[in-house]
Amino acid sequence: MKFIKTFEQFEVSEGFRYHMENGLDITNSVYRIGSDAYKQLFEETKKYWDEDNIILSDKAAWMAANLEVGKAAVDSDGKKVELDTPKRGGDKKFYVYHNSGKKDDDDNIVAVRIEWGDATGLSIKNDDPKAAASFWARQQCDLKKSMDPLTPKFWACYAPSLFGKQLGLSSTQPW
Amino acid sequence: MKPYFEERISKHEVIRTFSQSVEEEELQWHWDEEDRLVVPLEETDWQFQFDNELPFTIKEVINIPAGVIHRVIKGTGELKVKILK
Repeated sequence: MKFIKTFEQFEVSEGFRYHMENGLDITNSVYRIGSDAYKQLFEETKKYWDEDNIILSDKAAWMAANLEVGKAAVDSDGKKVELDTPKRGGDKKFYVYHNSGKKDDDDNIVAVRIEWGDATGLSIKNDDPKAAASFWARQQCDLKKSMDPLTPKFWACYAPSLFGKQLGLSSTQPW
Repeated sequence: MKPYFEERISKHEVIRTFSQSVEEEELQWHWDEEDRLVVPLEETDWQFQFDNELPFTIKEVINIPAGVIHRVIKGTGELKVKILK
């Protein structure tokens, strides 16, 4: 991530400055995914991105344009959730909430819960390049239709690359 | 398996050594049930990080209150600390 102008002109946060100076961004942040600090970093990055003040890597730019990490929403039962913050657990290996594009009567964003990953006890093999390449080809991750964050396929294909470090995965390849 | 070797030196004190070969993903965010003091025993460039804060190099005694999320970040060589529980 790079500031187009000198970022000293902006009152950037200490955390944002640290990431800039250490060649980090929202895809490989030192903050814990789901923490307040990460949410703040994401919002700040998105703000500068929207204002055309920073250059982001492909992955970070895609995230800034398409995800709303940490934004408050409610699920279909009205329970408070955070958008685009993948976690381990649920009926499958991982789950996440993504903006459905709808709002409830109280103007809250309504989120859809998406689960992915094997549920039969198979281990994650995304650190095996052959297995990862086979998965990528089998799932057709390259196709545009696979890049919809409302689908489990998107998260299976891209969560390791976007959130692998934060999810504690040993590789950023797909599984 | 724990990402460190531990030697108990008294009821409330252990010497914990993290090997250079530990994988970064083994050093997970976590919290402990009791307050802890971490005392570095050797000079190191390993780092410590509290949740919602930036990492810092382990140079002085670190007080970790119970329930506070934190993690260790791998540096070069091994990390040797004394932990008082």
